[in-house]
Amino acid sequence: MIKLSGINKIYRTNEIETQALENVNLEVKTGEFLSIMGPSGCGKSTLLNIIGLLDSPSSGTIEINGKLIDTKMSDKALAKFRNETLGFVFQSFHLIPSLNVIDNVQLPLMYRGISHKESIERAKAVLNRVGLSHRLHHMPSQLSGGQCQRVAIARAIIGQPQIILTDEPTGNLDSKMGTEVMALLHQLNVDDHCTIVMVTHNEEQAKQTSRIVRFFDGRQVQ
Amino acid sequence: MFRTILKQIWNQRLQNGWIFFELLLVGIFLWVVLDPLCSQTANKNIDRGYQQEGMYLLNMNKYAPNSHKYNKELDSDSLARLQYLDIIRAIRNLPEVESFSVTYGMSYANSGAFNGGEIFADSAFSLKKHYQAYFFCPVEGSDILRTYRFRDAQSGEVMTIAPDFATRNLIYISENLARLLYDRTDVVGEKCYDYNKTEYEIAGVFKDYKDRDYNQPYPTALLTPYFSKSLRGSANMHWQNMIMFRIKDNVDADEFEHRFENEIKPTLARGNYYCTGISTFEEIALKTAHTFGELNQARKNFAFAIFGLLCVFLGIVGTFWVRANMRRQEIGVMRSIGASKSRIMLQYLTESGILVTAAILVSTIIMANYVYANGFFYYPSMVTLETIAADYWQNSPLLHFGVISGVVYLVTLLIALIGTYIPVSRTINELPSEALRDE
Repeated sequence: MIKLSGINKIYRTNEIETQALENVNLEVKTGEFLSIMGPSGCGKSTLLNIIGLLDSPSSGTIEINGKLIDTKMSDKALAKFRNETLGFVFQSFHLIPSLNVIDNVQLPLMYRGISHKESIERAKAVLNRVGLSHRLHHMPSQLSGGQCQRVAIARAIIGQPQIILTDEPTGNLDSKMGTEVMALLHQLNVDDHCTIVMVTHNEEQAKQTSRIVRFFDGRQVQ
Repeated sequence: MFRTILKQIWNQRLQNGWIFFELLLVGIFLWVVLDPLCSQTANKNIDRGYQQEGMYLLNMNKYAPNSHKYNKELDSDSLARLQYLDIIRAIRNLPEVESFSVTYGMSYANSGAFNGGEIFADSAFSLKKHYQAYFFCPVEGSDILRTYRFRDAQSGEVMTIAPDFATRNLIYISENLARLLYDRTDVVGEKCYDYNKTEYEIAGVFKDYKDRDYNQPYPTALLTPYFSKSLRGSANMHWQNMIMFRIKDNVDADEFEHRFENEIKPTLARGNYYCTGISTFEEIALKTAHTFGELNQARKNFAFAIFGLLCVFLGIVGTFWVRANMRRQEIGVMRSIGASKSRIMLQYLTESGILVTAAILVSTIIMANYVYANGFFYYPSMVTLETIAADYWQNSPLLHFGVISGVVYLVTLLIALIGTYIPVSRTINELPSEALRDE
């Protein structure tokens, strides 16, 4: 499903050169729920961004679904790939504050060119699935952190992507909300056979996933 | 997408309300600043109806009785006429001169004088129209039409004066005067009458003519005064009968002016008359524009408009720049969920366009009320109700309002789009992970 080979990522400024990732080789199978763990600054989020084509590696190759990804492919092709294949759930939700819940959720379908009517119907369905059918017209500022994260998950899954990439999805939530969000992710993994790659600091949550990969100083150590 | 954009604008109504208010003020301000500039520039750009380049006015003077060069014996009207004709002949015989003409009174372009009169299209004197009379003396060999290079309204060719002009009551009229009198321009051979009931036959119709560079063409007629069909001697010929001439196209103007100053001018003294030099018609136009404050008004309009546009540019670009930069993270989110760069750019530009359109629409309504109550800022002084029919946008209240409003809208829109495009372009060309990090 996902195959990273010899991934290096170096950040350069005028004077300083920082190696964020060093020779990362990683394979994630279809339907797998993988946790990436490691201390702050070890390159977990950078790796997730590279898998999600939000960042480009300094060297190395990325294969997704057997297809070698050229990060220099056209913007439209990259956008289409992200829209159809990947779903993102961020630690700080990243909802658009000027749109209400249902409009936030239907955005990926709007970019796909699906009609407004159908987008809204599908948004209602996924919001119902994450338990927010009663908050359709609320603004993000009117929701709790857990509700915001569930809206973000709804937005990530509305396009039925094969891969969900999530960066510390429970990092900003209390334990009860965190448990709810994790349950939702497990449900997506089991019921929808979504491949999930999750960056987390939480050992307990990581243990619930099918595999843990550990990073230290940009290197994969386990 | 449009629906989503409208929702976003509405949901951010507090922030957008301030931007709307700023744009509203900008709309009103730009309207007030651009109206005089556009109207005055439009008037200035109207074709003069004659070729200013290559035309000269001979500056003559006369010794005062207390001057040691004054000769009382040579100061009779009959001698003055002969002296003046001799000067005219000298000008006519210059190899560089193509044509010449002699005015009666201050009848020449940008003289600053205005010799208005009434003219009638019928002998019953019921169709009275107002016009500007250009009186001239049809001395032998002179041709006012060729000197100005007036063009025929029908054929567009440079006109020449009728050989029998001096012996008949002929008149040349401008295209707009023909329309006023007869509602058409093919009026050669028609009769018209002045307030003295003198009958004139129309010998030709020339294209609309502007007496002053900053004015609109005024209905004009070229004729000789009813009391004098030829050059009359008088004590004041040096300002009553101005000599103008055109040099040939192949003559270098600088060389001619140099030669005139050094070789010709000293020879142009007859009796008590002497030549003080020549003025180009460009110089005369500039001097008149200065004298009547038109040039200063134009400079003020221009300076105010430039300063205003600069302030507006900095203000609006700054506002939209900040607005776009504050939403860098949003752009990162949009890219992560599959929006292409062009889609994001289109969305942001559309948002800015909607804000500008709404604000300028309201400012236009306010300005419509203002203009309805107070009129347009700039209005040409010599335009009368009759000549408003002229086909210039600045004379039609609706068109005038539409043009200025359109310019205000386009300028504001352009500035807002620039202020949006640059920061959005920078953000969408970054890696999405960079934009997302911007919290």
